[in-house]
Order: sequence, then structure tokens, then C-alpha cells
Amino acid sequence: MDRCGIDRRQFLRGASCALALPFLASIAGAATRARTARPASAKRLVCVGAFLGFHPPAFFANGASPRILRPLLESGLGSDFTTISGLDHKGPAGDGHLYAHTLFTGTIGAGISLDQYVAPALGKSTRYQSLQLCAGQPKARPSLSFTERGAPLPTILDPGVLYARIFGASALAHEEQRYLIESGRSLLDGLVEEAKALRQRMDTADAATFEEYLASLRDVERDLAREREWIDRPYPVPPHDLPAPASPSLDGSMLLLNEDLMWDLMALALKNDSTRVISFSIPVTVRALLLDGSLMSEGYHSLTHHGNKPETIDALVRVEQRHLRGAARFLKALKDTPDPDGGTLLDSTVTIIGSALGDAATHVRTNYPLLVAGGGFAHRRHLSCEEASGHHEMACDLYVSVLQRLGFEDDRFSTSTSDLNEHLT
Amino acid sequence: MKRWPATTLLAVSILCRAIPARDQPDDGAFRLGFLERHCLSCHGPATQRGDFRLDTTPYDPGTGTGRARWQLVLDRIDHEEMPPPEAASHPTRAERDRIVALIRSDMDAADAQASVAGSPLRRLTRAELLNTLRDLFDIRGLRLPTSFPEDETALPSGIAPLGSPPSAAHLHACMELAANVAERMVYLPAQQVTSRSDVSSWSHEHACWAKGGDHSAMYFNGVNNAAWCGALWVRAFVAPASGTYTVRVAARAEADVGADGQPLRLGFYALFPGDYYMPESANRVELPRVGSLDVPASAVTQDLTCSVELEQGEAFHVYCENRLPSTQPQGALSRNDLSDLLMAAISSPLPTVRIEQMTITGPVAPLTRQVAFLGGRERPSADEGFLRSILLPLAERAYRRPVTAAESLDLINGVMRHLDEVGSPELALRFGIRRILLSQAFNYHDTPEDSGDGYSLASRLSYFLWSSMPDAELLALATTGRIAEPDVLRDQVLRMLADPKGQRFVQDFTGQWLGNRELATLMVCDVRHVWNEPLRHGYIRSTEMFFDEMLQENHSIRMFIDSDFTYANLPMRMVWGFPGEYPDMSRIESDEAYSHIWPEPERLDLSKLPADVPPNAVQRGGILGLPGVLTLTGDGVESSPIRRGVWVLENLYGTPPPPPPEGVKALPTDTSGATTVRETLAAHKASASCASCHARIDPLGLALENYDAAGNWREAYVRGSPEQGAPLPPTPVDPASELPDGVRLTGPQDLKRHLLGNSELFTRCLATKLLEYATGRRLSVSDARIVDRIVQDEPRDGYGFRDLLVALVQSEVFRTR
Repeated sequence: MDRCGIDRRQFLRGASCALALPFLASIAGAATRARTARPASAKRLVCVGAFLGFHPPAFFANGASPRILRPLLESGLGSDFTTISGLDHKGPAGDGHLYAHTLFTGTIGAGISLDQYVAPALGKSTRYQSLQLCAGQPKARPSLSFTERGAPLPTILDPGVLYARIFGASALAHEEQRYLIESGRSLLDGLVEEAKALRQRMDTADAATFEEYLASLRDVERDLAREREWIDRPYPVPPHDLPAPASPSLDGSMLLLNEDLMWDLMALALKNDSTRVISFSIPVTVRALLLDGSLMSEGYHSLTHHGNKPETIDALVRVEQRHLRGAARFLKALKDTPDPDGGTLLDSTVTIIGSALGDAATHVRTNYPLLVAGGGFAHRRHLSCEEASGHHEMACDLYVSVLQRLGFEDDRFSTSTSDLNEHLT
Repeated sequence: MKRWPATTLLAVSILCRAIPARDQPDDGAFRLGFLERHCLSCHGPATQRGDFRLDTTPYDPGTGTGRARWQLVLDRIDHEEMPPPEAASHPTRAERDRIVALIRSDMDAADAQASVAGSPLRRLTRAELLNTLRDLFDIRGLRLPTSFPEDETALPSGIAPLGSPPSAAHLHACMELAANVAERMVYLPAQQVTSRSDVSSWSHEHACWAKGGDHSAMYFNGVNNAAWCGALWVRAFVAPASGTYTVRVAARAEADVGADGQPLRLGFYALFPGDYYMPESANRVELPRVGSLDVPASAVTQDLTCSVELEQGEAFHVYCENRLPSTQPQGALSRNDLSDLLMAAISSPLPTVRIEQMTITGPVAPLTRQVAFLGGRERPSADEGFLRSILLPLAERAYRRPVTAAESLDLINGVMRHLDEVGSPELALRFGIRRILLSQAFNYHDTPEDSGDGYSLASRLSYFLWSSMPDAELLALATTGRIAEPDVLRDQVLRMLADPKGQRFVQDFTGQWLGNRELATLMVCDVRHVWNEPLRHGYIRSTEMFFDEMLQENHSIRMFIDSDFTYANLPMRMVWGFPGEYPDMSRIESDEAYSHIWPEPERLDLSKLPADVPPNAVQRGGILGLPGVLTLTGDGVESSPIRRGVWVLENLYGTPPPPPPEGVKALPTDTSGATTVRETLAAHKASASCASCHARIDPLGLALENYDAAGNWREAYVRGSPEQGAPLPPTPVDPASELPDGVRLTGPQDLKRHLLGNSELFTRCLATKLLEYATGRRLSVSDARIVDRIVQDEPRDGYGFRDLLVALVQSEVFRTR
């Protein structure tokens, strides 16, 4: 029934091999240095959110049977992550799905997400300041990344598009791209002139709106200048066993296939330094998922309302294990890659995986599943914030520690009240 | 008494001076004294609790930011949250009431001065933008890029988005869209692609390609349906650009003529391959025929050629059109139905077309549509006069008004400059189209450049009822100015509502007023409720169809409150327990999932229901019987009497309560716990700051407690979903409550009766919603006075819905820009 499935699986087999690293490989002896030198601090951030959560009893490492984490352990990553319980976004009760996008903003109001906060500093010297991804067509707004004004950033839904962003498209497309950037800059000049002329005839309230419009135009100008600067620099060469994903289906039923591609492409994007900041959404779908070549008997969303039926929970956990299997491949790829500045890519990359939906079955918002991996933190498998402090922490306390790890001097982020430094270093 | 520094006195004296003419002699002194005594010690020069400083806050309750700040001050004082309990002294309730009344009356006065005019800048919504592009350019299957952001927040009423400035991401998406439209409009000879497909490249699992086990050729057996992969050529080819493509086929027919007596014929049909996997409604859309080819009967394979016109991103589908007597299966067919048809076609002995190879090359030439856009030319000329002749009329239509001299100069100069730089008239023309599509005049409803009220009025009317640009007739009336005549307005409203584009008003307005937009993504998340996509479709469409009947039949608007008809689709009738023979629900779900068959609602006459119909189907009159409305006021797990009460106040009574004071813990909405909803809500009565609003909210919500979170009728609460532990014995629903005016409600019928008894509230509410939707602004006090007059003029049995629309469009509120 799915004619894409075969191709995708073939692709995955290729992608899961260790892949050539165009520029890193040339640094002789990097691998040996990696064992001795630790980077002073991390310099990459990957924020991953599953909009349908993770089944909590199978997620937290201190639980009786954290089945979802098994792929991490099987990949030898047992001492590279910490699950953290007791975190809360303190949003209102009510529709749990409604606040799932707040995972990295830490506020239900308009606020900037962690990845966008760090992107201007971390993403200075890469082709893309940051990338926002989503595993296929979402049921509802999928973005985890928000601007300062709280505007959601659009996400790349199609692994093929991400592939083209990382490795460049055909030479023809390249020429067209250059033309679009350059003519786009001329168009922007015209728009700025037009806006300035119009502003003079606006009353004060509308004029303020126009100031913001002008600011957005300047942002786009800056983006195009960056694109122009990068367009002539050669793209990294894709690994020879990694063809561009062809005619994708973004339908919800293909979520796991698209997700797998995204995880592998994310690892490549970090390895070849296309970007240092990524957010990745695993979206809501009501469709039954294609898992190991066959369609599951129940829709993904309805699996989360399992009614405590063991067989339904098993099916749900299989899906959630799949999310972590992609994550394990991704983290393993980072761990196997030396960072040119010393250590491994895993040490210099903070990866946060979680969901702001505490338990999708009951829509509670407290104690949501979250794990942090790599980044040079002193990992201890599990951290119970409720035990450590006696009250529900905001995830933002973790984010303060992450910011500091990334070289920021901030001691507050969004709704944080403290940090988790003493537990993670 | 401690003296405040000069800044304090300045701000406070502004406060006192604000509306001097109406001030009582001691109002100003009272305000000054109140703030000094109760506010400034924490929000003054010495300390600024919560970063809030009052002495330097300008007193400006009339506009944006000032209004929000002073509304906050007012609410905090009114709700007795400020001064906080630990403060040294507290004002008396009388003092509170006086300061609240003073600030509020200043706000009202500012509103009154704001007058009727002044629609804020309003950007086209996603739907308006796409509709406008579709009306402006005749591009098949045009859609917004996936990167195009969602509409931002609407007015507090939930009606009409404001012109908040676009984010950089939004501008990028606009630029991408504009470039894509320009590419599709102006053909540029580009590098051609060739794609070849033959028997060896096809997998034999697709039985439709084979005939009688013969895999040496592909057979087009004569089943044309997009939901079936019958003869798709999706993976082999997707058009890289809009243009004409050449298809070469190595084929022969097995007979001279087909079922219709004509030579056997291949038909080519365009489709978006993405839709094959993820169609919005693949089964309900007839695919456009983009080419055909007669295939002669022959003993040997022939090389044949034909032209196919494709839009960028399209693939095509081929089949032998006249092999079978009836070529196209009719109606919505499920995957299973199609499978049967296909098997019958394959096993049919009728002769067919046998194909060994198919090659497509292109683009080789422009589309007919692209030639027409250039006034019949194959290629644009580099002559300025020519470029003007194409771009200026386009700009005029895109801007919905004459182009000013400055705009025209700016546009043409930019295009000529670009022509100098790149030397290609095609690229210059594309540049001009992009410039037009990125301009303020295109993207905003009204800009200061707009010349004359006629065009503005034509546009407003068009975006109100069609969610798109005005057509030629409206623009002609704008040019002569006749559009402003009341009779002309009435005729246009009737014409526009009769047009198929009028359905966009039905969709957009019900999307906002009756929550259909939210319903499209809402999850009903609880094993106690039946929920699937065909039901969601039924909920959304039944609301739209109910609304559409109100409009087309000009029913009295009282029937929004209670009606003797409603709409329901098959899955809804099954859930409601309508007597009858039904297919299995899982069959309906799988038909939808695999074949995209959406069961459409049908009309139900509630006055003629058979006797054995259960209450779930009986209690369906009016808006409050629509399950979509009842569902969106829950959270997908539990119904919430509070949210329902607020929804009813806001959308039917038109008297929305203020948002709850900050810092107040929400009451749990979970009705499955040990306490009853009624007991939980009783907590509101204990606190004065809660009681003032909840005395209005809670009784309305309680009266609707017989509807569960999915809008279904229940007599008892099923407590404790299996997810939350062992189920508890059900407890009966008690919908009895009492409104602040002493009216006792014992269920939804009483609520409807109360609303009918206060029908002028509903008329005002509906009129206000419609005008806010139409003008994109919050109504001012003087707007509200005009609405009051319309309410007073209401006939005894209520306005016909269409008559009300006409009255609103003719009103000064709508006609004033």
C-alpha cells in the first residue's frame, strides 16, 4: 500500500551507518583528542517535543520499567542522559493539547522559545541560524519555536526539503535561488520605501504598527544578506549512500518514517555544521501509524487514551520507543563524531527531548516527561525535582542550566525561579 | 501627609483633567486622593511592585496601550484585589464603585469621541489571500506554501483578525508565494526534463496495469478515480514548472472503436500527487482533463504524441476513456467499491489500449492561460509600453481600486530597472507581479492611498460576503459611486449570497462565531465518547448547513435560538440513536481513512420525529442543539459549565464577562471526581469577587449539563473514565439553576425561553458580531448607538437573517470606512 515505504527503509539502512564528514574528517587526530580534552562548554542545542507526550510510567528512568528508554540503553548511551521528573509549565488546567507548544517557552503567554533565544549567538557562523522541523503534516499548529513576540516559526515538514537545505539542490535550482535572493533584495528596497511613505500618512496607532513592519522587513533583509553570503559557498557533499528522499508522503500515517529521516538528517546537519540550533516537533496525528511496514490497528491519538488496557499501552509504548530509537541513532551518531574543538559532538550538543503534556491519557500538565542528553552535563540517569525541592519546578529552571552550559550568563529564563546546576554538574 | 514628587502630581493631574467638562467639582480631587491613599505607596516613585508604576502612567484610556493599563487598574480595584489584603488601609466598597465608575465613564467618553470611522489596518487573512489570488489569477490548484503562518489572534470577540504587523517568517512566506505565482503566470523557457516509464519500471503488484496476467504491456483498463491508484503515473513524473508537455506513447489499440463507437482513446487528467496520499477531498473533485489521444488499432506498436497542459507540481493520470460503456464511476466510492469495479474491468474481455512505453518531455511551450495573460503573445516584449499594458491593469485589480500615479511610477520604474539588470522581459514581468503581490495595497484591506469611498465600500462588501476581491460588477458600481445607494447595496447583497462564493461567508463566519475553526483541530479525548473524523466532519458541516439554511431561507433570526430543524450526518444519527439500519461505524471510518468519503449531513425536521427517537436526537433545536458548539465549549474530555456559560454570554447574550482575575486558581473541570459539578461551582458564591460574574455564568452552563463533552445528551454523569481508575456509580445530571434576575432554569429549553424573552440582546449580539466581522474593528460607542436603532426597528417576529444582513450593510457603521 505504501510505495514510499521501501525506499525509506533502504534510505534508513544507509543513513544509520557512520557517514563521511567532509570537513571534520580532515582534522587529523581529532578522535584521539576527543578522549582527553573536554570542551569548555556546549555550543549546540537541539530541542525535541512530542505533541502527544510519552507514557510516564514507561518513560522516567527511576520507574519500574522504563521501556521507552530501552533504545538509548541498547545504544550504549546509558550514562549520557538524565530523565527529569517533577517539571511543570504551570499553564491552566483544561485542554492539555492546547499548551503542548509551550515546552520550550515555559510560558503560556507570548514568549521566546529557548532555541530562538540562543540561535543568534550560537548560529552566527553557520549556514542556517537555526532549523525548525516537524515530522510530516501535523493535525494542528506544530511549532515549538517562537519569536520574542510569540509568533510561531514555520516548520519544515518534508525530509526532502531538509535534505536540500543541508546538501543543496541541483545547479539549476542553485542559480534560481541566487536570482530569487538578489531580486528579493531589490523588492525589499521597494517595500521599505513604500512603508516609509505610507507611515507619514498614518495616525499614531497605525504608525506604531508600521514601525514593527519595518523591523520585520529589516529582519528579512538581514536573512537574505546571510543567504546571499552563503549561496556561493559549497554545500557539504551528501554521503554517497544517502540519496535525496523522493516523493514523500507527509500524511500522518507516515509519521514514524518521516521522523526517522528527520533524526538522521539532523545528525548530519550538526556534523557538517549546517546549523547549531534545531527544534523538532513530533506532531499530533489521529491517523493509524505505519510501523514496521504495517498499519497499526488504532490511531496514534486514540492510543494515548488507552484506558489502562495493557495491549493498548503496549502499542503506545512501541510507538514511543520508536521516537527514542530515532533519538538513540541521532545521539549515537553525535557520540561517534569528534568535535574539532575537542570532545565529541555529543558533549558539545545539548539535546532536550520531552513533552509539555504530562500524561496524554488524562491531559494533566504537571510532571511532564523530559530528558536531557549530552552537553557535557554530569548525567545521572534520573533526577526527581519534586524530591529535590518539594515543589513542582518549571522546566525553565533546567533551561537556565542549559543556557549557562551554552555559555550564556543568564540566571533567568522565562518563568524560571532558580536553576538545576547542582543536580547536573 | 507625605508629599509626592512632581511627576506624580503631573500624572495625577492629567488624570483629573481628562474630561473636564463632565467632571463633578470634586471628582478630580477624589481620584487624586484615591490614588495617593491606596496605590502610589507600592506603584509610585519609591517602589514599583510588579514593575507597575502609576504616577508616570499617562492617563489615556481611549487608545491601545493606555486602555489596557487602565482597564487593568480598574479591574483590580473593582475585583478587590488591589490594594492587597496586607495593605495598611482599604477603600470602602462605595469608594471603589466611585473610582471604577469614574474611570469607566472616561473610557466610554473616549469611545464616543472615537466616532464611527476608523477601521484599523487589516491584513488579508490566509483564506482571503488565497481566495483573492484564485480570483485574480486563473491558476489551477494554487495553494499557500506550507511555510505560510497561521492567522494571528483575532479580536477579543473571536471575530476578524487585526492587521498586526507580519513577522519576518510571514514576510518570507509572502515572498515565496509571490515568486511562485509570478513563475506560474509567466512562462520562461527552462531546462526541459524527460521522464520515461515502461513495463520494466512498473511493479506488477498493480493489477490494473496487467490484463489477464499479461505483464508485457500496461493496460489502461478504464477506471478513473483519483482515490484509486488505477493508472496513476505519480512517481514517474511531476511537472517542474507550469507549461505544456509532450507525451510520447508506444501503444496500440486492440480494436478500431470503443464502447462509444469512436476510436479507443486515452484521457490525461491532472492531479497533485500530494493529494493522492493526503487529499482534502480527492473523491469529490473531478480531475481536470488536460489532454487526449486517439489510439489506432494495429498489430504493431505505434509511436504516438500528444500535448498535456500541466501546472507546476502536478502529475497526471491516464486511462482509456471509452473502453467501458460507463467510463466514470459515479458518486463517492470507497476503496472496496473501487476494488470491485476494477476487478470487473480487468476481467472484462473488452478490447483496450496496450502501452509499452510512455515518455514525457517538457515544458516545451506556454500554457493557453499563460499566452492569454500576455494578451495572446507567446513571449513578452521588452518594450515598456507592453509591460505597462500587462502590469497596470493587473495592479488595478489586485489593489481593488485605481492605481495612483506614484504607485504606477514606482512599479514601472522598478520593473524597467530590473529589466536593465537582467535583460529578460520574462523576469522583469515576474518581478512586477511579485512587487504587486507584496505591496501594502494588495495585502491590506484599506490603505490611506485608497481613492474614494466607493472602492473601499465595494471591497468591504466583497470581503464580507465572499472573503475575496470584488468582481467586475462591484468595481463598476464603485467607479460610478452607485454602490453607496441603499437599493444597490441590497441588490448586491442578495446577488452575492446567491453566488457560490457566498459559501465562503458561511464557512468563515461560522468558523469564527460558532467555533468551527477550533473544532477542526479539537481532539475529543476520552474513551467514553465516540469520536472519529466522519463525526468531526458532520459536526462542522451541520453547523454550516444550519447557518446556510437560515441565510438562504431568510428565516427569522429567532430560529438561531430555537428551531424545528437541524442537520446531521449518518454517523451523528447513529450516535444519537436514531432508529434504522446502519453500517458498522468502523466501516464508515475506514471508508473515510482510505477513500476520503465524508458523509454529508442531511436536514432533520425536528417537528416530525418518530415517537421512538431518543432525547439525544430530540434536544437539537437552534444553535445550542448543535453538537459542534457544545463540543468546543468543553476541553475534549469533560464538559465545562463555566466555559459553556461564558460562551453563551459572549456569543448569544452579547454580554461577555471580564476575564477571571489573575492568580485565581481555576476550578477543576473534572466532573468525574467525588464532588459534583454543582458543589464545585458553589465555591464561586463564597467569594464576592467570583460571585459577581459567576452568578451570570454558572446557571447558563448548568442548564446545559445534559450535554456531555462531545455534545451528546446524558441523563447521568458516567464518573471516572477507565483511565482515571475504577468507574464510580453514575450520578444523575441536575440542570436546575437560577439566573440573577430570579428566573429558574431546569434545562436547555428554559435557557432558550429566557433568551427568546430577551431577544433584543441576541439581535444586538448577532448584529455586533456581523459588523465586527465585516469591518474588522471593535464597535465604538457611536457605532453601538446605530446598532441600537437597528435593534429597535426589529419586526415583532424578528429580522429575517438576510434582511438583517441587508440592514447592517446599509447602516452607517458598515458604510463608513
